[in-house]
Amino acid sequence: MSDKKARLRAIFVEEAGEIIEDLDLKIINFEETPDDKDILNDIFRGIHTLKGSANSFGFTRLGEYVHHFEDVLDYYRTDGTEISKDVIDLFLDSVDVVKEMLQLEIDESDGFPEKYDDTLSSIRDIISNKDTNVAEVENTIDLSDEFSNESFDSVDSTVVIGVDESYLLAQCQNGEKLYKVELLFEDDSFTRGLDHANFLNILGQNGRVLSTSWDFTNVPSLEAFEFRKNYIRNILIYIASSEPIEELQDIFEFTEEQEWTLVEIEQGDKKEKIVAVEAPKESKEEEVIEKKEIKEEKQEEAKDEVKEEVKKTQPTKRSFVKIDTEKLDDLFDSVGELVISQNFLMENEAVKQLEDVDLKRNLETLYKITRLIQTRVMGLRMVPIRDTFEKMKRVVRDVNKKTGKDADLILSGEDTEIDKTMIDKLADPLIHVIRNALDHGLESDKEQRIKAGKSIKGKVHLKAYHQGGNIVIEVKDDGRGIDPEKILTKAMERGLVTEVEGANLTDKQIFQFIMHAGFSTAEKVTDLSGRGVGLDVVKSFLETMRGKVEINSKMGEGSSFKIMLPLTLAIIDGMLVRTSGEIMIIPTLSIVESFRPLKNSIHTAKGEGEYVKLRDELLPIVRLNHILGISDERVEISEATLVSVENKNGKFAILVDELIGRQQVVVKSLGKALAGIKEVTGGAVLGNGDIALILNVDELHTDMV
Amino acid sequence: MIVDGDNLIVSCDEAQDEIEELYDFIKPRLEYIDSITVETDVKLASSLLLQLLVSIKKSKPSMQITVLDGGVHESKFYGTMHWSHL
Repeated sequence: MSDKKARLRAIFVEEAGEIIEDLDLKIINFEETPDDKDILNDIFRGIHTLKGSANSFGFTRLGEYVHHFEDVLDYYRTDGTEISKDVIDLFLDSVDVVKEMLQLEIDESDGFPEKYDDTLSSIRDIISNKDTNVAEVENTIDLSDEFSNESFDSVDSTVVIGVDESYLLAQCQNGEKLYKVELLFEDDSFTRGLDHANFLNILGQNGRVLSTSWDFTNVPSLEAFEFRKNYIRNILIYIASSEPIEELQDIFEFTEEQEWTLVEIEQGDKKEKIVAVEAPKESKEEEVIEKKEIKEEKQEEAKDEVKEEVKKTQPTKRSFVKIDTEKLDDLFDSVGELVISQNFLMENEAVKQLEDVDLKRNLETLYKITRLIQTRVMGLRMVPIRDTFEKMKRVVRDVNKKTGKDADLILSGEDTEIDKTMIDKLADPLIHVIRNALDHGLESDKEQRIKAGKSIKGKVHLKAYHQGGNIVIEVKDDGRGIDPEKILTKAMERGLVTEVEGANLTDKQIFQFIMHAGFSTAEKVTDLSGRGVGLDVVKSFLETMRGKVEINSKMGEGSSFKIMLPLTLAIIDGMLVRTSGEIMIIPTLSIVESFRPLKNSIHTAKGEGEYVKLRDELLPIVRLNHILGISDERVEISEATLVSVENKNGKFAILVDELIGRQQVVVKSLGKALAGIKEVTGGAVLGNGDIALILNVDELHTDMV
Repeated sequence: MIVDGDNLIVSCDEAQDEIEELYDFIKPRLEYIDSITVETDVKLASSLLLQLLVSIKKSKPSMQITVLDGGVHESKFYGTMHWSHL
């Protein structure tokens, strides 16, 4: 495959993925507002676009299936028949098939998706039902209106489907130009000896016909069909040709001026340009003037339509550019370097002692601008969490269907922005948490809910918000709650904790056991949850994203999973600490508090290590210099500073020589040589040029507290 | 035009009078024909053929017509052929 073709294929795959991603959500939204036919038309348009593009790129299995899916959508949108829950199920299943089929096509694998036969058969049943009622299903919706605001193209009343001009332009070779020809023959064209096929064949002799779009809107059924009457409203032809435009214009020498148009398409052409019609030939003066007037009138109308379409498709004047995230990452790295250089400058002793007020002011301005650039570049990676949240509606619907439960998903904070890298990985863990909430959290028996004074319908709240410089994503259900006793018993059975240790654990700490791989107290394993795998996915996600989860639950009232994530992965908010002369960074997300211990609060248990009593809690002390192998030095605990941190196993105290201060640092990955050190997750360059390691709090203390 | 059981085989290069014969043949026999195979290895002689096939499809949507089913047809002469309002 040539580079160009591979690039175009990649663009198609990406765009097809975007169309398919949206379909689920649109179908669910349509189910919620069945009177809003615009949504159904929108779904139809997405599928239609997919069909044209899939076939163009040789994804014929996908194209074929999508064609049938389009048929059934078209049936419902034109027929007006009420769409039942079963039909919505069919639509959603069909979207699943489309998703899987696209993947099979990408992988060039044989075979068909699991639901392929069932969905196709259901679609065919619906369509055959339509056939028997064909008289009633006269198409009343004009597709030219439907497609008037398609992103691809639009000329007058022409229906242009699945034609991507940029793709066609890319197919032009060796000085070929791309021309667009429109044939608009009158009803009597065949009797006048004008046949579209002849013109197509002559055009084919002058270049390569790349695409033709035939509008059969006016073709009637056989009963009303008059032989030799032209029903073809128009044909749009794209041809790649080395011939100048005048040569091609000559082909239409013997046709009426209004029966054809010919324009050259250039890179970056906009709709306004495309509707401009060439006035190609000399003719009788008066006739020309009259026709020109008609044409100009038509053009004006067309321009108005286009403007109207542009208005429709662009509700605001905002415009967007698609950027490869790798380029964004590169930009972010460069800005990171800029910030570091800026910090060098500000920390420089000579600069600090500057007495020139103007220079100092200029440096201050430079500092502010650098920070502004950093904030803005960071903002480029931030996207609203809305799409990910909306996808969960499908999850809830599917689980409701499978479990026979009835629950509503209530969303809030969908506009909260989160790093794009995290959003891409958030969907899977979120699905697991929501499935768990529905499958295990909500009561199976409606009577139980009524008895507990709850509504029959369960509620799952999914919300996102900012808290202390972090993003919190919370899944809260109003179900039966988690039984800490049951969890603790299971944890002891599995040897995760001893009876003695267990007795001192808080409910919050006990709930953390459910995040262990394979941990499940479910009495029955369903295909949704119960194997203890799901929350393990959440755990892995949190480890990668430097996040943490807080589980709260009250028996009979429900549970909540608070997933706390840093704002971005590229920058970390950290506390700089010094130990044995080395500077380390503790992510502030893990820090609870820092304090200087009193002598009488320090305890040593033989063979068990050192502890500090903080209020009612006994926290193990981790000497950073020892655990990282920096030095054997043993400072007096009462003379050092302790930073209380919390990880999945509970709280503990990190002993450091001093706290330097809180700072946002750009995270740099460690080289291969240091990648094996599990106690650190990365490095950062400080203002004075020193490198500081970022600590992995999860690995500093792995024993259950 | 070849009749092969309930399948009809027509060629793209059928002239207008041949297409008229096809029209006369198929109109009273629509219910007995299940599919039409269109041979596309030759150039299209008249667009009358395509509009007739569309009319047949509109009269009997379950009719399988190779060139029209799928909504798009890849032609070595005419590139990607897109149909609307089938």
